[in-house]
Amino acid sequence: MDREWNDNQPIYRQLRDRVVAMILDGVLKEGDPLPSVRTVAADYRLNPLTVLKGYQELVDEKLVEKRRGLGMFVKDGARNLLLKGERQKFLEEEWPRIVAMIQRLGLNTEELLDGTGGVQSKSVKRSTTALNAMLGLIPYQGELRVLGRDPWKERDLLMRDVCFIADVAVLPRWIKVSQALDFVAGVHPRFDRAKAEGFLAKTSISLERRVKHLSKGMVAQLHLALIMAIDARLLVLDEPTLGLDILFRKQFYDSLLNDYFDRSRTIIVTTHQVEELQHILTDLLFIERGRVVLSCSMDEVESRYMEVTVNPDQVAAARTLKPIYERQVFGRTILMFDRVERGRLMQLGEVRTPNIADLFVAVMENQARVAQGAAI
Amino acid sequence: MNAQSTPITEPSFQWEGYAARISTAARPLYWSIRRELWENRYLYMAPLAAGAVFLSGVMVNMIAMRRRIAASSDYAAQVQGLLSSRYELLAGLMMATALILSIFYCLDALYGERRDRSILFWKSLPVSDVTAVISKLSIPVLVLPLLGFGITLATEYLMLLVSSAIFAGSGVSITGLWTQASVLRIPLIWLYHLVTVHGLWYAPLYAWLLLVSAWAPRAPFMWALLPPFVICGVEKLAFNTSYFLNLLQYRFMGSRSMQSHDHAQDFMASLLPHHFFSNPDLWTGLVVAAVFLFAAVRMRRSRGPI
Repeated sequence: MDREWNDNQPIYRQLRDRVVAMILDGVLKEGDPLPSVRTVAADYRLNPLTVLKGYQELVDEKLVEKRRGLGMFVKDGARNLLLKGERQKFLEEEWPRIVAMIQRLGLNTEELLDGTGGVQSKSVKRSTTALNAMLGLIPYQGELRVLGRDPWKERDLLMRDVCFIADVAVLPRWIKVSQALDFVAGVHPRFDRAKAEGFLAKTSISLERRVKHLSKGMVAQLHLALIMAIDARLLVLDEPTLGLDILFRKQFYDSLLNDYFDRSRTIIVTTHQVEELQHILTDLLFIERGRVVLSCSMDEVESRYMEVTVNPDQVAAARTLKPIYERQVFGRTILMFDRVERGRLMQLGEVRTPNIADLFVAVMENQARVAQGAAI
Repeated sequence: MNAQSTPITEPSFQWEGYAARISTAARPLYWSIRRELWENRYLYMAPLAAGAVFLSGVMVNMIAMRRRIAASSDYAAQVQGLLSSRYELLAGLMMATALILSIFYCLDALYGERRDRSILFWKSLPVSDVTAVISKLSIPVLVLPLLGFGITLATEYLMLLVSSAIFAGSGVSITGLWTQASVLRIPLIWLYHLVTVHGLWYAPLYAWLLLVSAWAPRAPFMWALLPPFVICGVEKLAFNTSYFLNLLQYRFMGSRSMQSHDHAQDFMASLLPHHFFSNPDLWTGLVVAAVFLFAAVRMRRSRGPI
């Protein structure tokens, strides 16, 4: 539990809310004892009477029962009772306020679901390090060959066969679209100008505009048009759709696949919006702090990993099969399994292939747990 | 590389092969220089504007003096003398403009692309860091002197035409005008001066500025000035000498004797090819410039956007 209290509500109410949250999250299960009044008071530097008052609230709501001489325990059925009450409370009290706020700020669903910008940029840097070394942008230790060349020493020669979009915002702002075409045509032996103009003709970008007068989506389209007109063997896209709206992101991958991809080319994409890529991937590689934690083909992923929405009465049985990850969605328990026979899982509930984002979270959390165990 | 992509690197001893190879090496350089002019339009706009302002000033002056020129032939001779000194003023103005532009251009050349992150785009194209840095060096060393020369020449011709028209309109002979115009007498010497002094003699200065702009985490102007100041200061305090300061002065202005006396003749003589190119200081300067440039290339390779 968090040690910070806010000043807007009495502490005993906040304590009560936290216990409720723990019950809802499954941290405290039905039949589990609550931490003793004394411990909580000492740990959180609270007056024991305050803690007792908070617990009394829970008793009054019939969520918790006192067992004389033993302490407080979460009552059977507390979770369901809570869910019903909390949902009702959320919908009646909090949701209308949030909706009003969303409307006031003019947020769309997309923005709401990606609301973790700070965290993203932190990890963007990591995947970028490996890519930058491959592209000759930063030095590295050891030996690295890309298409038979040393990227650090022969970047200019390597770039005849490799294209990359480092970021959507790197086209120089002063350049005119026609100048960008001229320049790339001038320096790149494998640039097909007619092709690039063909791509641009499908957009609303005029050749006389300067990059600084184009919208963010248009700049990305221009960059993509330049890159796709180059007959390269390797294309590296580092967060190519960051900050673009959903319509354009879809269009981006569609045109990448339809107009560019053929079997002789390799495309490397780093992204945090994995769900939009899931259906076009062939191989999957997870890297954590420079170490590969998962490397397998997509077919393998489908046969190895399974996610089961477990029927409530079978949760305990399902847990004995050693799920690698467990989460709660709308009161239902979802477990993820690695290499467990499909037939057995079918008996427990609804089985499906996990989406990559969930798989990523599961694998990374396990990794963190293993690392912690090793540290101890 | 596969078969279709190798016409460039295939060993071929025919003349076309060489030509193709030279053109593949030169093409990125050519486009990089054009790119610099696209990006920095002030490189030609400023000298053009300076020329235009100068020209309009002289024209207004001439038109105002029109009557008096027609009235007295003595006065017309005076005006001719005035005009010929104006040509020198114009040449000086153009050189000063080019020098100031060069300094500001060099300081921003490798810094600006890091600041606006466009370095990532330039590095995604098959242009080596050497080509990029040389293209940027060629702006102050080659492009700006030539541009300045061309614009000055054009301005002087225009001045001549305008003044001829005014003189002819007033019924005064214009032969004097055309014989005195320095532009017609010494354009080649002047071009030679631009290439030698502005190109070769100042090369270490430009190379230093480029190095600073490739390295500086911010404020390249300050970083470019700081080391010379510190060196001069420390030298003065520790040894009470000022060799470094003299060295800088010599690099900027030529030797002291040239300034203190009326040694224009000496100065011109020192520029004569056999004097200029046998001066060891020129070659030391070029070696220093080469070292700075090499460092700038290394720096551009390892520096990313800031």
